[in-house]
Amino acid sequence: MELAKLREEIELCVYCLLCEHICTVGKHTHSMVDFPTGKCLVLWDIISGRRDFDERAIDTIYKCCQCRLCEAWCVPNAKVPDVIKAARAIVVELGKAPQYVLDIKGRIDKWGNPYGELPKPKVIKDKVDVLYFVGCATRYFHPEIIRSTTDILKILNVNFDFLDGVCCGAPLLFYGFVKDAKKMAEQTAEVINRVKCNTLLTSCPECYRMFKKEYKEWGVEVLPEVFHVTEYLAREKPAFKGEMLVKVTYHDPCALGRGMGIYEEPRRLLERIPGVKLVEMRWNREKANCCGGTLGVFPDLALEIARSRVAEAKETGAEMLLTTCPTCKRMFSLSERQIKVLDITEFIAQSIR
Amino acid sequence: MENKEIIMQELQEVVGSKYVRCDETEISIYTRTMGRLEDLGLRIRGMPVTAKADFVIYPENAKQVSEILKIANKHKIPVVPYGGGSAVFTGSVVPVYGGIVLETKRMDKVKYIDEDSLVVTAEAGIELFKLEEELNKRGFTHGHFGGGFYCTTLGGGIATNGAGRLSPKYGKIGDAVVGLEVVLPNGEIIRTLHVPHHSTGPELSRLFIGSEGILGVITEATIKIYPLPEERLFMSFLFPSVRNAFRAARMIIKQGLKPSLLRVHDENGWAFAPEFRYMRKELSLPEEKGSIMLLMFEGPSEIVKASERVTSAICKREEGKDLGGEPAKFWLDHAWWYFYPRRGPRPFWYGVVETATLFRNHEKLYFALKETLQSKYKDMIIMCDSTHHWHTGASLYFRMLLEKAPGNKSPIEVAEDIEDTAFRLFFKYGGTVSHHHNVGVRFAKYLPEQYGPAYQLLVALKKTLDPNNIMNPGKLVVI
Repeated sequence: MELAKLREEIELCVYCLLCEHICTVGKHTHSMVDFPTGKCLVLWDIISGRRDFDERAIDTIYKCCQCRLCEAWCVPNAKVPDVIKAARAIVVELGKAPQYVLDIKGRIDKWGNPYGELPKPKVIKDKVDVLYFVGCATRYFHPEIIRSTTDILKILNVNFDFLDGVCCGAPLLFYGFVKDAKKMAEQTAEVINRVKCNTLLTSCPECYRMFKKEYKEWGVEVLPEVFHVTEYLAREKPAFKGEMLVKVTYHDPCALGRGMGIYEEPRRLLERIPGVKLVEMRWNREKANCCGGTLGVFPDLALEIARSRVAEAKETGAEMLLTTCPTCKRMFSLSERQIKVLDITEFIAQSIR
Repeated sequence: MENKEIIMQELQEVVGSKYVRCDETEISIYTRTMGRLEDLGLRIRGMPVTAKADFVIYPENAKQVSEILKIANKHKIPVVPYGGGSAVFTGSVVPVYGGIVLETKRMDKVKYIDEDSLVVTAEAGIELFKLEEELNKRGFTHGHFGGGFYCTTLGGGIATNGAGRLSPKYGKIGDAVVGLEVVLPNGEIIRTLHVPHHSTGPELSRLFIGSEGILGVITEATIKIYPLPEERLFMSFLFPSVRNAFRAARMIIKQGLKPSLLRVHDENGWAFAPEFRYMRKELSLPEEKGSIMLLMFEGPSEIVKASERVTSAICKREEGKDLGGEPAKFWLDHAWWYFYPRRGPRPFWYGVVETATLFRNHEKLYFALKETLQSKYKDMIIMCDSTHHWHTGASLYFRMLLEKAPGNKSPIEVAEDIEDTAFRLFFKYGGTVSHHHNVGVRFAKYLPEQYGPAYQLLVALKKTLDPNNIMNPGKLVVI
């Protein structure tokens, strides 16, 4: 059992309550079961053979954003998100995945992504400098991010094409379908590797994390060098036109920040735009709160989480909440729109020369 | 349990079906504090270890709490109020006789901040961390940063009368209480007088401070707040012995100085405690023997500077070597660091006893317990921190570590023997079973001896307010 290998992480966690104040889910559900310590106690019993997965145990295993905020606060860095990931794989293997998870799997089987029908991958150029991997969440929920990203690439005279309608496999992995995720990774890598290019660009931090971390761990090779769009633009240093007199705040997407350690590139980009005043939220960078976006199967909870992050943004006095993840943008946009929400590429597309 | 389905239905009518749970997972987690105690080798003595809650319920206001208590009275089933669940040493939230665990964390709203009266009123289930965040936004602090700051709730803190690192200035959380809303065991919702002080009978709030949920459920509290300080100044001194450090601490108090932080760690504490090993490494401090004192003054600049001058003179008279402000600042910045679990092999046993006594007994008690325990357990490392200094006395917090088993004794037997030895000495030197960890189920049996004839007052209160003994039975006062 994969979980047994993570016994040390579980045992660290069951003796401690010091992430009660920050657990994205627990601080909204208020149940001890949903805090990392509760989840680990449940799993500790299971690996010790004292009990089995019941409905509530499975429910709490899926009530985790994988935001890694608990790990960021934890002094011994207990890897609870990895424990949860392993537990989901076991739940799936045991055939105990709940219906809401099976529904998502069904949609992925049908459409290749968890959201709905997307354009079929089009024939793309054989050779480009940059291949823009659109990602299914961007295409389905926020195609305006595709427009702004491609506008920027055009202004920068980049020889590019985009790969659309293909999923990186993150949703399958998230819900515990590890074998299927690996299979999808192999197929996606094959499509990418058919194109001769140096750079693979992603809008979605989750796709980026998949390519850079999970694919690597699985031995699935992606030939071009992978960049998140903010990382790429920070390197390209685009020139900006006149002043944009606006106060903005930036939300760190979990997969990009805690997942990949990219905190400064988006900020450097924004600070280079004349007139822009970047104000930080109380919790930022490695301690940034999550948007709740990965909890799509618990929509009310996800929305409540998003609203509390938007409230944090509003407290800064910023006129705009910027982020660089289609899922974060979706959540903030759904949460009553009390503040203007934009993807960084949309903001930059307005100010680039 | 008889009538379980009927009770379930009645509870659901109060809070809605979503907020009453009786599934195995929920029940086991809300009963697991006991599991942890067992795992730590700290058995709850004389109590059924198979204890298990029947329901976990999540009310959202005092009215719902009131209805729940009425149901519990009708069916004569226990109710265990649950805050952050951080009182792991004593098991004060373990449902030893089953019944209802009343989770308070849904009651987490700040009701108002009164900047003129310097008070905040908040629901009892709010975490102290969240309350502090809300206050900081308005330029205020509550000042209560105890070991459980990241998980303790306002109500839980008051019900156990916890103390934070900055207690010399901000007091115990019980000292901060201006007024309470409490649901009595019969379901009556009462409010104590919300005034700065009065001469209108006994202060009823005091009944519930430290009552560990045996006299009712605290649902709202109004506590003192303070403007965020203009300046903070840190000081650290290494004394040749703990006697010098204790004398200096007493003199600081006697001189009327008002530090926010004042702690003394004895020679073993400075040498062996993980936080100081870490500090010495990070700050490249010399491996010098001694007893360390950490201080912080905060407030207007002139007062802070004057306090620094007087404190410095006192400490130098006691041969304290000035280590500058950095160690104290580092310690406060990492105040929760050593509460986290560690990777790697665990010792055979690690435990804590803590007490408070008047200054006239403070030093005597320190040496008496240290010598007694050391003679019984030769290989035990005994570290002591004098963590909370008051006008009349101070606490003593003993941390004990045994890497290997002493003879044939099990960890549980070691714990029981050490606690029993410690409490006898505490009583001899005018100390208490606990200064800020509370009594819970583990130490309740010592209370008749601790209080003497005054114990009957506690029993009478409990019996009068809670004739059916539904509120957190088995804790503090056993009837």
